Amino acid sequence: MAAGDQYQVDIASVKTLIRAWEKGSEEVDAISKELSNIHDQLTGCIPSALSDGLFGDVTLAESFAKVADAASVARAVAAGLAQDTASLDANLAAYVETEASVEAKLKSIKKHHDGVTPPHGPTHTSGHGGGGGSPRHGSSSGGSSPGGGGGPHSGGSNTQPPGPAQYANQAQVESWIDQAFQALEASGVPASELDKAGVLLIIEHESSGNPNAINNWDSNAQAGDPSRGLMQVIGTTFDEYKLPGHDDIYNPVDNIVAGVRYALSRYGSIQNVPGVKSVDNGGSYVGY
Amino acid sequence: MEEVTLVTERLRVGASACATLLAATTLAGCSGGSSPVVGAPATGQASTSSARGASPSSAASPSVTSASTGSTPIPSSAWIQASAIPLYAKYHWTSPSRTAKSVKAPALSAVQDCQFSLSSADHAELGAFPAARGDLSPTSGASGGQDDWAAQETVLATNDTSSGDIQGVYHLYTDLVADLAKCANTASGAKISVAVNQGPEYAATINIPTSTGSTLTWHEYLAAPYGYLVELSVYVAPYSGDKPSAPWDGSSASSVLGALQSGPCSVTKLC
Repeated sequence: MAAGDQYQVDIASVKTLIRAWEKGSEEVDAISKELSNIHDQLTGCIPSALSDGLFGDVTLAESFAKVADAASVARAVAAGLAQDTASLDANLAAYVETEASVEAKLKSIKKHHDGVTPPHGPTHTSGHGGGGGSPRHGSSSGGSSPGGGGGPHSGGSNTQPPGPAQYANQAQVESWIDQAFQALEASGVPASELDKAGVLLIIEHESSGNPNAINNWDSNAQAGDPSRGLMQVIGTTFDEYKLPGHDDIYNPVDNIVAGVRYALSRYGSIQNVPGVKSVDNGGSYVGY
Repeated sequence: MEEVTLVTERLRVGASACATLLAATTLAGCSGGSSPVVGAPATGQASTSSARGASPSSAASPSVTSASTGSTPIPSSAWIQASAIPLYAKYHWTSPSRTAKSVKAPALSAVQDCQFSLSSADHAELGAFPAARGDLSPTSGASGGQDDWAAQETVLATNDTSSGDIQGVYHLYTDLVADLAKCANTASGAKISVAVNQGPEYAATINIPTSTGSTLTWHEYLAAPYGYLVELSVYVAPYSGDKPSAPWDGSSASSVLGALQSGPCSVTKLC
């Protein structure tokens, strides 16, 4: 598995971004040099007596000073961009190293989870990460890889946690689902509609069990309403489908409650959620 | 996050530097530098077209372009088959896929005719994705007058499978349905008869008196198949005292909704 695949980080895109940033830095640097040249040429062409005397107290002197200032600021920006480029490079290298370490630990943990009985279909263990064995995924081709902090489903950058990422293991996530189902049943949702394996699959693909996951790349994120939490609900969805007393979008139980109510309203059943259906049919997961 | 803040600050400082440079060149009476710092205004916007001649709407019409707006176009297969549009036997509608034009933030019939205001969030949602509208006219069986029915389809597509975008468009749909239910509050004298309102499917017949003394009769079909928002409206507003040139053919709302969604579903294969 290539670095970044496990967590849906497109390393190639990050590297491209760094190169673009580097190029931008060089271009700004060139602009600053051009500005300096312009300033020097203007200063050399016009006698200082003229600029200081006839026009000096009006526009030219001010203009020269502003050109000089602009050149100075551009130099500082260029230096900053170069520094950012170096920082991005260093962070990328650190990320790749950390991911390799985490993956090694997950493989170790996974040995303890082998033997889990899948409620739906055969168990596929390949490519699993982030918190235990979902029975429903793994055989999909070309889809989002699991375990990645609530990743995009067709491109874009990965979700980022607003705070420290807290990737819960499967037992913890199942405990949250149980609590959410209790609240949902108490609110009148028939138990027969509450498909634990389906919800677990959605959570694994949407957030990898990170209650702090937040999507910073799609249109809703750009509009200021990013999808958040375990089930990656946007604020408007959360507000419409939350239950009284379950008002925190980052609370894992509250998030599941709203996400499940939305899914049931939108698709009729958890089994009918497109991503769940697709995975059950051997395809890739898609957002809901 | 610290890096992001740093980058943002750098861009802000960079913009400030550019603004300073522009001010300096202006003061010195010089032409701008060679660096294309400031983008040109958007081009290619054609004149506005009205969606509904007989509409009592006071809403602003959208900008319509015959060329691509630069966004991903709506696939031709996403449009409803003309033969599935009510009154096809009488009018033989033009195909929506052939008449469709890209629209930024389309003015939906529901909004125009019920004259309600979208929330800023819903308006942003409408403008966030590629959309197009097909204004349909009869190819036969019509007199070309006010008594003829007309039809219009609008399609908006997220073109991705991000949960946030999928939810956002669905939320727009549910808001529209909620606003349609209150049509009588926003369009004076409106009477609404809902035929289907379940999940992502809605159909209703709405009658609204117009300022000219006639009545707009409007069959609204709204659906939100995966990643899409689609609206089909079939309407007529004959002169006061006149009847439509063709009686309503009794098309099944469920059948029309099914046909309306079959296009998007064939594109995404996720319905």
